Amino acid sequence: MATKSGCIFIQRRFASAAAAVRPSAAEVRSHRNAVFLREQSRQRALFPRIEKIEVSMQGPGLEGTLLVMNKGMSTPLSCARHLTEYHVTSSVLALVDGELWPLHKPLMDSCALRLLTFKDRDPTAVNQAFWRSCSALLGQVLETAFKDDFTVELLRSPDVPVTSGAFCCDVVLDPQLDSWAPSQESLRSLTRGAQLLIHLDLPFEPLDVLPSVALEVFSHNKCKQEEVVKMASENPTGTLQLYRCGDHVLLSSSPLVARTGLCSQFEVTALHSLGSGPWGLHRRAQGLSLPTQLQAHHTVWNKLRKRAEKLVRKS
Amino acid sequence: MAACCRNLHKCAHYLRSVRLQQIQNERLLSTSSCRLAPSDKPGKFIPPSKPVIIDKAQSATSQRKFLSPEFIPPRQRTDPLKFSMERKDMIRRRKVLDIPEFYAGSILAVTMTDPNANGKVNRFVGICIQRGGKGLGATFVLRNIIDNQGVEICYELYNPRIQQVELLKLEKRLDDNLLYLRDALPEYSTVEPNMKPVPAPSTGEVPLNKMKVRMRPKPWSKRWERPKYNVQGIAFEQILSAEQLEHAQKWAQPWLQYDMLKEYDTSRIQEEILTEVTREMGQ
Amino acid sequence: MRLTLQMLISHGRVARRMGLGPESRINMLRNILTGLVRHERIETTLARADEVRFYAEKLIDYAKKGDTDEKAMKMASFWLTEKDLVPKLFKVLAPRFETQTNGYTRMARLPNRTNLDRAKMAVLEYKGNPFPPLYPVKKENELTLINQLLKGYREDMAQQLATKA
Repeated sequence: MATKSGCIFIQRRFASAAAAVRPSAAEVRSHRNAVFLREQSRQRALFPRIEKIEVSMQGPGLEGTLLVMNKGMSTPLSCARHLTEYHVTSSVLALVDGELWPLHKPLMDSCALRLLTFKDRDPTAVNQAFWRSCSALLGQVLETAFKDDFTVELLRSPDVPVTSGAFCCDVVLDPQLDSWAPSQESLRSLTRGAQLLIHLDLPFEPLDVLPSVALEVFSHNKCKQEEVVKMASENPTGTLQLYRCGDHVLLSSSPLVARTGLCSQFEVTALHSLGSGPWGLHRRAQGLSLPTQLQAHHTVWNKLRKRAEKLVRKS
Repeated sequence: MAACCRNLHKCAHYLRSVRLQQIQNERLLSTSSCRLAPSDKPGKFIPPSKPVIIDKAQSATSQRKFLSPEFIPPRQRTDPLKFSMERKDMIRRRKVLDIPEFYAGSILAVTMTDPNANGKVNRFVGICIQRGGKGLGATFVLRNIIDNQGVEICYELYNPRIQQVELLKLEKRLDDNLLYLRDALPEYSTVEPNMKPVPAPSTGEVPLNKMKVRMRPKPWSKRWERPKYNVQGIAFEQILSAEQLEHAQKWAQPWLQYDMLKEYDTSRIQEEILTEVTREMGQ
Repeated sequence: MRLTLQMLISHGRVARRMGLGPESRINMLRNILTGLVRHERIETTLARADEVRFYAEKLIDYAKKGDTDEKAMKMASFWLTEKDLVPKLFKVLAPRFETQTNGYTRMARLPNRTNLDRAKMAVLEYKGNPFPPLYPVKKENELTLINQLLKGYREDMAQQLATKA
């Protein structure tokens, strides 16, 4: 209860400050990064002594493999690095004691670890994580694509199933842009931005934080703050999961994939407007992507892309 | 073939005697009908009712499904398009010229224009001893003995010089190839030149002549007793001893009938082509 | 190098020359084919396996005509030198391939023979035998990302068709 009232207090304070002077997008980004890095280094400092944990690997060809790793420091990715290059490049997510675990999140205890790929027998969870990461990537592209004069506010993106054909990202653009309709060239430039990010092969770094820290990260964005409060109340432990990809910090309710380089084909297919909401004109950006391990022939890809142009509705 | 040519001019005087001059006949008929008409009734002309000719043998043959063997393409690499185009030409020719169903052993009369005498035709009667070739180049060989001299003429079935092919006697023999008639006694290949057509039996079946021919003494043009030729229509017992017949079996290849690679199953092709040909001929 | 059998037949070069002559060739192939019908998977030199393969398929074609057919019975009793295999051909193999019209056998290369003469070796089998498969079974997963996307696409198309009709 005390934390919640504190949250609201901080939120009001920052909200009033934001109303007074609007900071530039670069400033906002560096502020979020700074807070994220501070919190990350604080959490790392909690384990000054190196303690060993035992990780037993599961999966085809790995039965009986036991790795001795460092507590609070080793991630599933470092376990994969002890195995083969195949495990490093093709792992998407990890399954730690039956729980989905981002590949860059440190292990806290002795556990059984299974590395998940796109070609598993049941890759449903991996597919969903990939879809979510693609929409996060799309949000990141949209945030950096416009000039400093235009504000871009990312809303909470709806979790659509893979079979709907496209991942989507809800966004509110500057009121000056309400009459703007995106052309094919602008969609193509968005695609190009996304492909640059994919080429950089940036990791999605996870961080479990308290709501107060999250509120500080998103101190310039009212709608994000509302989302933080809502997600904190939904989560029984009261913590939130922040991800950093390059210099973009985002909020996610469930784990994302290891890195952006896992996508190979990526295209922004449409930007629909959903009508006005509480924050302005809502727009929904849609895209289609496939991982490196599963590439489509261009005829198949064209058919899927055509389908991804249609507006995806929440089921 | 050279023998055929040499024989040809020897029998030319015979052929000349059977030349037909149809144009004169037609004129005669028309004058007679003109003379009859005014004597009956000058005012009105009532055409005589057409006589309906019912040929029972013809109906029996038309019911029988028969595809001439030259329609079936051989087992080889040639483009099927070639055969389909040739089939079209063959059907066009068959619409003009009535080519009857015949087999080796049937007796035929072929009327053909003479390339060396303008407007004249030759008619040759003989027994068909061999059918050869596929497609437009199909041939058949007629054999007869004229003035104690064997004559064989190889006709191309789709030759445009052929004016008429008459079937005088329809029958099959025990073999598909009767080339051994060259080495048989002359009575087996002698055919009366002025032979009248023998009506086909009404059963609709092609009659099978199980006659076994008697041969002249050896040497023959081929060793017909060898299993390679598989000749059924020769009475070997009368001319060869038992030892000779047994000796001929030395060349037998009894495994060949079990070698499935050598089989060429034409039943499906035959069905398809038969439906195609009947459809095209009906148009 | 052997192209398709149809090609070779049309070129007039049907059979390999093997053994001590045509009769010897047929007898050798008979023995191999009998072994194939008995064991359903055999290992011979590549040329012999390839040669037997055609006869093995044709024999099944004959066996499908049933054991009352005279020609089929004659062929079976010629090609199977051990007569106890004739019922197996008609009662086991022919019903097995009832749904197929061709391609009853499968052939795979083996490493060259090392103990004798480095001859090319092959394994020949009738399909549907109880042995472990020659080739790894291809895995087709309906749940992968691209298959899920295609599934959604197909459903969409079916819906469009239904609304149009």
